[in-house]
Amino acid sequence: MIFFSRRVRLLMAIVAIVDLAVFSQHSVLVILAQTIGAALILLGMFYDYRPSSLTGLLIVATASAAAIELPSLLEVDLILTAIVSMAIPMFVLTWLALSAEEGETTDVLLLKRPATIALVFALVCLSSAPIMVLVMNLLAPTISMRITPTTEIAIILIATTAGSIVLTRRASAAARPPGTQEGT
Amino acid sequence: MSGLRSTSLGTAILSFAIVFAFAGILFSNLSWAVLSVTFASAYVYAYLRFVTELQRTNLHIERSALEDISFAQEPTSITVDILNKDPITVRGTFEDILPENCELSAGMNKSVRDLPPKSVLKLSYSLVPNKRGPLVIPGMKIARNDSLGLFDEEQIIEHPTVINVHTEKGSFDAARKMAGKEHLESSGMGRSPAVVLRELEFDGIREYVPGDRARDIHWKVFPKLNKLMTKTYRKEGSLQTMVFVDCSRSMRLKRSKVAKVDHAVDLSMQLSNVLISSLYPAGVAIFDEIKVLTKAPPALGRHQFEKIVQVLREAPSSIEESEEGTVRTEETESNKTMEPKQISLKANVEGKEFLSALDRIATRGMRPALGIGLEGGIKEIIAKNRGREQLYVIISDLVSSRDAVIAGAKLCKSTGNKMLVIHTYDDWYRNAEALLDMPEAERLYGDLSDSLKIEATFRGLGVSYLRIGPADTASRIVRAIRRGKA
Repeated sequence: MIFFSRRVRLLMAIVAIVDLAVFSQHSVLVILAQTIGAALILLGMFYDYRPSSLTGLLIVATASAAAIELPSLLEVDLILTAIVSMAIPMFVLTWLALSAEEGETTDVLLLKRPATIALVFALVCLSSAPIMVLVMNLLAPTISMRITPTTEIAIILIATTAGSIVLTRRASAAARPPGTQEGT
Repeated sequence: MSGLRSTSLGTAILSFAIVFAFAGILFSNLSWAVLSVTFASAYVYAYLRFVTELQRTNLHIERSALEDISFAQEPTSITVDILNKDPITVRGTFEDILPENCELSAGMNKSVRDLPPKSVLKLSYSLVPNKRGPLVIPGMKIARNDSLGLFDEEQIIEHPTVINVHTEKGSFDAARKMAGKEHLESSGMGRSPAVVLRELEFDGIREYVPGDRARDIHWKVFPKLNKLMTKTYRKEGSLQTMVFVDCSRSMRLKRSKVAKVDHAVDLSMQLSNVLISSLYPAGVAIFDEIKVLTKAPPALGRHQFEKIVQVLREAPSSIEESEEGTVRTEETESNKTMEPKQISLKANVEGKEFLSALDRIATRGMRPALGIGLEGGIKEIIAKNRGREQLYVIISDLVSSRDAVIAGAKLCKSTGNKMLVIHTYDDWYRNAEALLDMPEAERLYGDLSDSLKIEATFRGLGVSYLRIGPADTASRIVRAIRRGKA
C-alpha cells in the first residue's frame, strides 16, 4: 500500500488536469469548463468535501470527452492517445475526487493489488476492440468486416460489463470471515 | 459475504458510466467510451479495495462488566475497548450487539466514527437484564463504509462475553433482612423439634454446684425445694444442611410471571442465609436430570453465603412458553437485523430439546428413568460425612426429577438422614387467568390427586413435605417449617 499526503495529491490532480487540457481542443468553452471543474476538484480535496470534488470531476470529464476526438481504437497511436490523454488522468482524478473525505483523518491510501487489477482491467477493456478484430481475422481471414465506432463501443462495453462482473464475483467468493482476536 | 451493498454514490458512478457509454454511441466518439471504462475501473478498484479491507480487519476487542455481580432488573455497566491493529482505518458505525432479554438503560452501545490504525475506541453503556441467567453479548456489529463512499457492508465480529445475571436485588435484601429475624429451630420445652435441631437439648436438672452459670439456674423450682437447682443440657451436633435446587427443564419452563427455577433460586438463597445466620452449616447444589451441575458443600463462615451465591449464579435461566405451548425465544430489535447465524441458535436448540423431552414424557405416559443427578449428589455427601446426620432440602417441581427425589428420600431413610421436600407445585405456576373448562378442571384434579399421592409417599418415608406456589415467600416457608406444618 502507498500513502499519499495532501500535497502529493494536489500535485497529482494538477498534473492530470494539465494532461487533459493539453490533449483537448482549445476552445473557450472547454477551457472554461475544465478550469471550473479543476477548481471544484481542488477545493473539494482541500476542504475534504466529496460532493464538490465529484461535481468538478463530472464537469472536467464531460468537457474533456467532448473536446478530445477519438474516432477509433483500432490503431496503436489512437490507443496510446486514449490511455495517456483520457484513461490515466481520468482514473487519477476519479480516485482523488472520491477519496476527498478519506484524507480528513489520515493520508490517502492506495492499495497496490486492487489498483493494479483495476488498471489492467481498464487496459484490457480499451484493447478489447482490436483484440476482437484480431481474433476474428485469425478465425475467419476471408471475411471482410466493417468496424464502425458504434461496433467498437459495443465491444468495449461488453468487455467492461463482463470484466466487472467477473472481478466483483471473484472478490466476493475470495472474501473470508474477518479475523478477530479474543480479549480477556 | 454474499456481495457488497452499493451506496447511492456507487450507483451514481455506475449510472454515469452507462450514460457516457450511450453518449459515445450517440456522438460516435470513443472518448466517451474511454470515460465509461475509466469510471467502471474506478468502481472495480473501490470494490476490490473494500473487500481487501474487510478481509484484513484485525480488531482487538476487550469487553468487561464493571460490577462483580449483575442483578436482574438492575443496570449493569459494560465497557468495550476496540483496538484497530491493522494499518487501514476502519470506517463505519461500531455497535456492540445487545443480548436478548435486556434493555439499554444508559450510555450508547454504538459509535459512528473512523478508527485509525493503532487507535482505541471506547464504548461505555449500561444494560438492564430482564431475567436471571447467563447473559451472552455475542459480539460487535460494524456497519462498514468504503473509504471512497461507494459501498457499505455490515460486518459482525463474534466475540462473546458471558455475564451471569443473578436474581433480583430485592431477593438479596430479603435474604439479608431474614437473616437476623427468622430461624428454623423451634424453641421452648416439650415441643417436638422442628426440622433443624437445636444445638443444646434440655436434659434434666441437678443440684447447684458453685461455678454454674446464673442463666442455667432453674428459678421456678427454688421456692418449692428451697435450694438452687441447675438445668443441664445435652449437646447435640448441629445438622448440616444441603439445599438441592432442581434445574431440570420442567423447572425452567416459564408459564406465568414467575418461573419455578427463579423462585427456587431465591428461596434457596434466603433459606441458606437464614441457616448460616443461625450458625448452622449450609450448602447449596443445583442439579438437572443428568447430574449435579455445581455445588457449595455445607460450611459456616463469612464467605459461605458468597459461595452459595456463586453457585446459584450458575443456575440456568428460564425458558419462555407461549400460549400455544411452544417455547418462545425473545427477539429484540437489534437481533432482527442480525445475520441468521447470530440469532439465538443456542436458545432454539435448547427449546427443541426441551420440547422433544416433553413429548417423550407425554407420549409414553411414563416418567423418565431414575435421575442419577440428585441421588448421586446425596450419596456423595453421605459418603464424605461418614455417618454424620444431614438435612437435605430439595426444591423441585417433581416432574422431571420425581423418581430421583423419591430414591433420595429412600436413601435418607435407610441412612438415618432427614429430608425436606419443597414442592413447587406446577399448576400454581401456570397462568391463573387462563380459561377453566372441563378438561382443564379434570387435569387440575388429576394433578392434585397425583400430588397428594406423592405427599403420602414422602410422609411414608419420613420426609417433610411442603407444597408451595409463586406467592410463598421464604419467610412464610420458614414459619411453616418451624411450626411443624411441613
